Amino acid sequence: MATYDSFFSSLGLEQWCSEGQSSGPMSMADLLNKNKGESAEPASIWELPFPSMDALNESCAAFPQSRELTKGLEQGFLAVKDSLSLVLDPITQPLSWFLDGALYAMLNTPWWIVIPLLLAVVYVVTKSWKLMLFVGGSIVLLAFIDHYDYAMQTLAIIFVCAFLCVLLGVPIGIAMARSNTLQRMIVPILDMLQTLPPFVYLIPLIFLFSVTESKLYGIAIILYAIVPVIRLTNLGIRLVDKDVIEAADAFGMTPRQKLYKVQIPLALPNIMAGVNQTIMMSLAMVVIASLVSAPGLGVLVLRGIRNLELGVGLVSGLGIVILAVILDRVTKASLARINVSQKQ
Amino acid sequence: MRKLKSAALLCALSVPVAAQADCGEVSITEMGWASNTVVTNVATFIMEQGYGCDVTIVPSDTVPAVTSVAENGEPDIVTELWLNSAGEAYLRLEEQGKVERLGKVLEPGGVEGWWIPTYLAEEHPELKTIEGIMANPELVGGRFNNCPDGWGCRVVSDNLIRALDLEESGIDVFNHGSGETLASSMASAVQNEEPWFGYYWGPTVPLGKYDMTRVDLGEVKPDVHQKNQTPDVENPGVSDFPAATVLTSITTSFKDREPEVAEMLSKLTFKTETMSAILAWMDSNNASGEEAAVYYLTNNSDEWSTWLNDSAKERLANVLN
Amino acid sequence: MAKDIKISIRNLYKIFGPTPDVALEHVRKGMGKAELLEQQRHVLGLRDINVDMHDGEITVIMGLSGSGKSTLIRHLNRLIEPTAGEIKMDGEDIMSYTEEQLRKLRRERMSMVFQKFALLPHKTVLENAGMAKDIRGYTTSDFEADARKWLARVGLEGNEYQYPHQLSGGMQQRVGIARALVSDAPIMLMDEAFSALDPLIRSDMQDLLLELQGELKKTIVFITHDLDEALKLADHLVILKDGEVVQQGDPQEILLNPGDPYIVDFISDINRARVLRVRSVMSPPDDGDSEFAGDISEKDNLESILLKSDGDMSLNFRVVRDGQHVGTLHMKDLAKALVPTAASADRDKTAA
Repeated sequence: MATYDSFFSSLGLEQWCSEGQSSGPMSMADLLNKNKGESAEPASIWELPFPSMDALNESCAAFPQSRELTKGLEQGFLAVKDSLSLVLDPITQPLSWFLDGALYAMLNTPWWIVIPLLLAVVYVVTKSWKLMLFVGGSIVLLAFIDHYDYAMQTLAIIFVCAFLCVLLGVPIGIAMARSNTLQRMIVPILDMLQTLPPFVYLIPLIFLFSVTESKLYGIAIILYAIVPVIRLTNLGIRLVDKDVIEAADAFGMTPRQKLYKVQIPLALPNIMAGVNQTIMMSLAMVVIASLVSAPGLGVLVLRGIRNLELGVGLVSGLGIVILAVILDRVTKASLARINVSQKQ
Repeated sequence: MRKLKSAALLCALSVPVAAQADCGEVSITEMGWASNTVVTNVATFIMEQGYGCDVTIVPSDTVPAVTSVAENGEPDIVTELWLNSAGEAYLRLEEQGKVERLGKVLEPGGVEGWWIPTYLAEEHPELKTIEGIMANPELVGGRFNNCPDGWGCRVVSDNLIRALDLEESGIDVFNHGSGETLASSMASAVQNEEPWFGYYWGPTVPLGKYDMTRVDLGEVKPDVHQKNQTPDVENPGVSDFPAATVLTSITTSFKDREPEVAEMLSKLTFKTETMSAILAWMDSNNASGEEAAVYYLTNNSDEWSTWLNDSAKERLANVLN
Repeated sequence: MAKDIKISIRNLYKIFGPTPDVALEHVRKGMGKAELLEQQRHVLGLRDINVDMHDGEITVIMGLSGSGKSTLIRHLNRLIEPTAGEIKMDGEDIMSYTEEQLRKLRRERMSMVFQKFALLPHKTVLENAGMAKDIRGYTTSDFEADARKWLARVGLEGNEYQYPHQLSGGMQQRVGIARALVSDAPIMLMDEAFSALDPLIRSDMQDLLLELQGELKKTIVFITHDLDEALKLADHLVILKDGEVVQQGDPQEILLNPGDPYIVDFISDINRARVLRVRSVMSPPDDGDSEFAGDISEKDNLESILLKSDGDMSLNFRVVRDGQHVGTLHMKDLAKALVPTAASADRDKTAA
């Protein structure tokens, strides 16, 4: 009846095949064939189906369909899920505390404390009055159009996630720089994290953690945004002038001294470039994170998309752009300050 | 020689078109949720095989679809249109005569409401009413799972929350970011037999799959519910959700063009319980919406055969018998 | 001059490649550098090096690029591990050192100056100068006075709070030297320390080094590819070629008696009058000769004597050290010494 019948019969597997029963539901193609009568047999070589799992299943009922594969994967994941979340849940719990704490602090501190505080931080890291005025103007603009709360929620989330990215990413990058084996192992993971559509790794996360907890989106953002800081820390340390490293060895530095007195300071421009990218990428994740209940400007963007409220979407999009420009300028300015003091 | 060959090639390649010339190109929406996929696929099958239409399925969502009809007059058919989500914009289109409602695609209609798992209701019968829940917030986990921003139900729920003063009673309102997280929060709570309290609607896979009990919000007051549909309305009232009207809607130009198809679509109705059963089957068989449509078509031919005209019945004879 | 041997290298081999031990056997059986690369895919770094470096002397290791000189100096503090052989420092075998002992050696008994300066770009000149002390756990206030003193000594007074990138190459290398001096280590390794500098500045730095050495009497191992520099600085000259020692000894000696055509070739271009010194060509004190045109020092180079004699080849000079008559310089001998090496190959050995 089906195309690959002869293949199974030539292997002498008819017995085995007939033992299985096709459990899969009828497909639209079957129904169409049924409607057309018995013209089911593909007439010419041009319609030869690829010997996929489903096509083989048609000839041999015992052969698994591809839905069994996805089902098997799902069941496998569900089977390890409980033990996995038993380990991961407590480990990641602090993330929820950080996020909730930061959101609470940002929203419950009056604006006349938060805004000057932010500006002070900007001045300390950039030493530029011009930039500070620009940031002040931008925040006041956002506040004036009643987007202050949303913007601060977004900022709080980015601060926490970017901070944790640096906290975790820099040591990973350092470890990678020290061991070629580790680098070979981690680089494919980083490639995967960067190319995998964020939604895909949201799925197992939703299964693993309670969706009402803030760490869910925290993890999603961190997984996505941690990549550049790891990569550039690794690169920065590997690019540290070999002569200086040799000098450090020749004067008898311990590996720890070498790391703190030479490698990290000299890799700092690269590490900071990584931090800049990490912050920008966490901002890029804000809209996607809103799908898993992250508060902030992303929620407004989603509302704009869902209800086609063009104005809401545009204004909140503009808010994100303003935050992006602010964060980019500030990190770049502090990066420039480091670069000046490090010129060779 | 070469010409001959390529001619033969063309013949072999040409797909047998379902080219009965009496129906032209038709576009139909497919929304993101499961029941709609079933409806769309059933309608597509009948239109293609029974009426010879050339159907294009347009993946969309309620509001974008309505907006697109308003702006471009496309797509021709909007299936499973939840009137309460489409809101004012859709009614205005009807007034302008751009679209026409063909009838309820779900009978009696969709259910919306606030729900708790049935095991919770059995253990604590007092939780079946909103007063009982507000008196015992800890029994439902102290959290209300609210609609995602941008959904029609979000506005109603927000107004209800204010009218009830829900947060004062010690219940946190958690605003979900998407329907997926709302559904999975319910799923994981039910699987672990934990308390859960939140908004949901049916017929859907989760409501078909999990045994949920609707929380009584009091009586249905249509005027209060109507008022609650305005964001941040001044003095929101308390009214339970009425049964939602779920329509098939087509553009008037399409009705003029294809009256026979329009007539079929106007008869296209699913009983709400049938739909729930299909969705439950779909979940237990890990099946796609398309397969669920096939399942419906093969098992309920007596039902859908009444929608067809004679010529369509003839064309679909092989499936019907 | 029987000074103590500070560093002694015996039978040192270095072979680069995946299995140096296997290749070593071939090298010991006499396989050459080119053959080894061809047949064994290993690079011969050093072959059977035997050098003694004396306390308080400048030992210059000279060779062209690829001769293995930089490899050799890095064996002294084990930045590179040898394939075979032994290295003794103050009589101790440093090959047997534990990591901790080795670190102590590098911190306290050795310092190093690099061709590309290798300063820390994010630290001030002062902090760079005190780097060795900082590594040993001293704070800036502990070493500040010391660092300032040595920075002033190398001519960098007033530059203490600048960053390396604000200084010229010559000044940066002065910081490098100050850094080595602040460490107080008795041994100083200088790896092509002046090669990256302009000729004029290089000459200044050589003078500075000699001046400092006059005071400090450190054991200096100096690597260079520049023969003039080698001859100017060396107390003991080691000439490397393709990883092997071609000739070693007193530079004057090598100049007058090159032991290898390679060296003859090498020294053919230099200004012999400027490099050769009186002590290399003078005769023992001879009372018979009473006609002295003047007193000269044994350290004077022949060029200055030529100037003094005004080209008169019949004169004799009295060579004086600390007021004592230690020898006689006949202008005839001087003229002979200036004859290029190939022609003077069979000349009698002069007193050293």
